[in-house]
Amino acid sequence: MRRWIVVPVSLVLLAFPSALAAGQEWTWRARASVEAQALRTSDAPAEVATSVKTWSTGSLFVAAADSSWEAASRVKLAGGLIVSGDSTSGLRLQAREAYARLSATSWLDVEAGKRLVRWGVGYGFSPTGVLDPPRLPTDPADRLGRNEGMPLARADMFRGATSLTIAVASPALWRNEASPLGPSRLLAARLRTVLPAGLELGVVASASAGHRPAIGGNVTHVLGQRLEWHAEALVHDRTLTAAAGFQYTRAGINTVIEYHRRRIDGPGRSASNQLFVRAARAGADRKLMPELIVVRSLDGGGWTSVGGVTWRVRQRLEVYTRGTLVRQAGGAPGRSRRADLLALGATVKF
Amino acid sequence: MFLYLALAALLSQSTAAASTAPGAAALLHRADGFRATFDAFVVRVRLTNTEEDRVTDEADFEVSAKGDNSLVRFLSVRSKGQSLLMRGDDMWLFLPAVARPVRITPIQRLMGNVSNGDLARLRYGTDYDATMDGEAVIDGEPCDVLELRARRKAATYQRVRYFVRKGDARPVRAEYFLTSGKPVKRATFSELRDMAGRPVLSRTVIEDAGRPGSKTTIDFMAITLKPIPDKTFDVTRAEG
Repeated sequence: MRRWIVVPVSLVLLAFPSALAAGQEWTWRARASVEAQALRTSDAPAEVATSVKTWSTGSLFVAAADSSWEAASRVKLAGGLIVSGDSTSGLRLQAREAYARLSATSWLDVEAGKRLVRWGVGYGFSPTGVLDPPRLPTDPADRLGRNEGMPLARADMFRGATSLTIAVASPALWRNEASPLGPSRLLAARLRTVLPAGLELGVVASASAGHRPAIGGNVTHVLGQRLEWHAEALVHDRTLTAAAGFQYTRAGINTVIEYHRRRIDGPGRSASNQLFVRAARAGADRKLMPELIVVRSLDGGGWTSVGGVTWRVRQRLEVYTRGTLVRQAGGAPGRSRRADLLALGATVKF
Repeated sequence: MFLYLALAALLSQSTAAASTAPGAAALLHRADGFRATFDAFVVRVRLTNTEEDRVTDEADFEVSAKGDNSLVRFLSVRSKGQSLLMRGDDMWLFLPAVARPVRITPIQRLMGNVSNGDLARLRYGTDYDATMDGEAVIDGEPCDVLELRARRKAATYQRVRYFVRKGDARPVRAEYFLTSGKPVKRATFSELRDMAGRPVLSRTVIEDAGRPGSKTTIDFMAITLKPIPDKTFDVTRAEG
């Protein structure tokens, strides 16, 4: 990984003097959130409506800061740190992002480092997000900013409304601890274009040693003033993962509905189907922002519901409350798993 | 004789019709010149919401524009890191940590009475066809009235009545209408300042047609002319 960084960093250093002579721009942002949580879980018989269990309480703290320096739109250095901790473990420091980008020509960017990328087009699910951080349907927006980037080196080529990205990534180095599931090296490519009718198309491919290549595609399109639809699918080994959905905004409410299917062929053939629904108040400047997310297994496996409201008290201060209900079939026959999580928190922005 | 007169009348009418549309288009082009429509530029903008003359909200933005494309960066604390890209007829909202860039439409609200398209699209000549619609006196200023009709999907409004001052085509007021014909907003233009070597109307006040006391003011704080590479407006690049 270190060898891959040498070339782009060298290019950055060579471009440094001319970049310094031109205009520079420094941006930063930071936020800190504290949250009090109450959790109740049970593994109860299915016929029991409620389970008498005591609540356990805890707290969570997350602070994140991001900064970027850009010179004459040629050189960009950017990074971000996350400090987090909860009542059961000590503080943890993570590098959210840390990368250097060089605008080599008017049509070519090269970049290396740890980077958050988003290739999937879905909200709750992202089959074509081969380099994306894990997507949690109950928290698709990563509200506390805890996602980490992927260590990679990439080149982006631009021509008109089309871009081609080729990246070499190291998923095994994704987090502070190397993931036992990720390959050590991943080659990925995405060709993306916007057609004159406004149809946005993407073709995604990835390959790693010892695995069959994955190939897929995605599409998004806006119809009229209110409706956006999207779909994506990826084939990898014997697994087909697909998602399709739409987003509709009317009367100040934004609604997203998505269907997700994962099918594994071969000896251990299986399929799972899920439905994701999100409704939230639309508008970036609202003081009160309620949100409701429901993720339901269509195979009889249960559902998860998340409801919450965020109140923007001041420009820099938000207070929120959030409730998560999990109802899943599981464990021994005739039993169900239940979990209720209540959270009350505040976020300060700088 | 009668046939001759009829032909002459017909010819003079078609000549007048032919000169109306180019005349209106030329007026619209001149009016656009007062609204920071340079070839490639960056403008720092402040939006201020007021209700009954009381300031309720304020936010800063940076708009990079070139031709049909624009990139709006959100600079205020509550939305720092967000950006809005308009490329031709298509618009995306980028949130720092959200799942993926969100496809949005120009009519969707940015802040207060300002829609995304009000900030991302300053040049009416790109999105509207103009015809002359008489004259009017606005705040004591004799004006030509232009009737603007949307000619592409990216147009924020279906119809605009645009009042531009006689003589120099300086914009005075605009009235905006939805597809249904319902008036939705009204804008007044003021504060002519020399910015980047050209007189620019640096203040636009947009009022809600249904709530006269609700206003959002768009102030151009500074304009910088600079070359902007086309890839700045690519979706991949705008992700960060």
